Amino acid sequence: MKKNLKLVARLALGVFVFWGCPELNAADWSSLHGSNSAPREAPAARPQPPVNREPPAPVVRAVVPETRPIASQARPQPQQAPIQSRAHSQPLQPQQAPANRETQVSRETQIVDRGQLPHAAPAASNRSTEPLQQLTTQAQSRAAAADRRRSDVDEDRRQSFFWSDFHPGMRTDRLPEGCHRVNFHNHPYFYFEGVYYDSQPWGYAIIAPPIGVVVPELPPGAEIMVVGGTVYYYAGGVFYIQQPGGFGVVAAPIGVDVAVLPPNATTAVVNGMVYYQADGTWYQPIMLNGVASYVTVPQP
Amino acid sequence: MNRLFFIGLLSLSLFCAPGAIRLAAQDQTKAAPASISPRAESLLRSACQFLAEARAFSLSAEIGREHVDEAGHKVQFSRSVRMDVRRPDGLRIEISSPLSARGFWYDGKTLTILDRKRNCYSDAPMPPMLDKALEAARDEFGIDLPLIDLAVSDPYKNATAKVQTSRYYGISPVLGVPCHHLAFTQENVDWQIWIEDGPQPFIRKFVITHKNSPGSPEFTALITRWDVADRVADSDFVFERPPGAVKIEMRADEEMGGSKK
Repeated sequence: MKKNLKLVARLALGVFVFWGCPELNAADWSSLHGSNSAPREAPAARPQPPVNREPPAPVVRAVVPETRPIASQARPQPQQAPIQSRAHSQPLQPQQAPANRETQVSRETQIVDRGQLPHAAPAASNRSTEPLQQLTTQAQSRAAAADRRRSDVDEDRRQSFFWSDFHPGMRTDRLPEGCHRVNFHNHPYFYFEGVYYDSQPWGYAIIAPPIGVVVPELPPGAEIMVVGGTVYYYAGGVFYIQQPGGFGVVAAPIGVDVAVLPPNATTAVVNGMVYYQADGTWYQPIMLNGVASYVTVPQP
Repeated sequence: MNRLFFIGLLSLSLFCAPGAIRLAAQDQTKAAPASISPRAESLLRSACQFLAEARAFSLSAEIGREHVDEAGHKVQFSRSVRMDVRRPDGLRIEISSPLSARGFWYDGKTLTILDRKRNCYSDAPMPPMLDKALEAARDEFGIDLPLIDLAVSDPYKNATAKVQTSRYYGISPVLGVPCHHLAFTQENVDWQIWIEDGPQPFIRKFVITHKNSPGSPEFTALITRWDVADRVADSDFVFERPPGAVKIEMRADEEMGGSKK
């Protein structure tokens, strides 16, 4: 009975969200032209592209040297220098770092004494009590993200997030206050708001996260994407799915569009077509709703 | 059996509830007496007529779009806009900021969009008249262009199609120019307009409030330059590919109302 009631409630919420909430429907925000025209016909459902369902391989991405520097004006810039790719079989221990390095507050993944960030979805442990609220939040977030992209302000928005100033290949001599220590394959990494650090003898290298690592909270500003019923989160060129203990880094699903490329993406021309490639994921540029976007595609 | 009946009844009730609420709200709206200001209607009509009679015009504007994030924090992002219009089949818009720069060309046949920062462009065939082309751009490709309320052939009809009430708030300055301040309400948006007080009733400011969206975000346009002399060359409405620009596919996201993949 309880399960049936839950099912009914989910159905009703779906109806409410997509029929009863006018603000979730498309509108032309910058003119009366759209609002005052005759209602549009419902567009035909777009066929979903195939989704890569293979389990993520537990491998560490190679660190890619900087190829596309980020324009950042007012923020203090971390030191930038290319670093050596690190073999996963020879992990560096944090104690190997120089003694004068200021390793500030780092915590194990299990100890999260900060409040859940407003943008972060609830932890998996709360799953039994969250479904209705989460569905509403996801629908609203998707609509808001689609609207932001159409108005071409995602580049502006991302400037406010900590991760927008960093990309793999940069280095720093200290960890930010409040960062989390996450262990993966017996190797410690450090995570803070979408940025991943790895210990080096000279300090910390900023790296692309290994697929499979689990972090306790999403980066701020993570976008929600739903592919074939699976909810993905995307921020700073990294895709996540919710799982016990937090959010796991996964391979990019095929067929999702992102407004901003990963910071280490490089251009590639294949059969006369322009693509972008980052950490094994290929992106095809498209003009979506009048704004340049990038859709993940199989390797051409 | 009783359990199934109960579940069915509950589903039906929940399914119908939002629609019933909306219908009730609409009935209430219909029943309420309309509050229309004749002066506001008259001033808007004369400004729109002045605009509609201009065969061509050019303007510059600063626009701001508010966005409300998941935490309820409202932020306004701004852009500079330059728009050239030649009725009935010419439109060019440039939207720019330090982070973004996009150009739009419509020449009576084709709509072309250029992303200047990424140096890529896309085009699509459009109907031969500007009004139809703007509808097609919105309906087929989900494109939201600012200030097109000024570019349509009948700005008054476009603006007042769903107006419920209007008010006149007297004279107030916009960038130092004395303007008539008018306010209009609709079911889903409220909007205000500032019209220059003088022989040339230029629209100087425009605000749309999306009152039913969380946080009631606003779109604001401050028009800093008007030119109704026909100084725009035909070639200005024709796209010329910049060196190295890459052509990419034009698509629409169905979530934004577009119908073409």
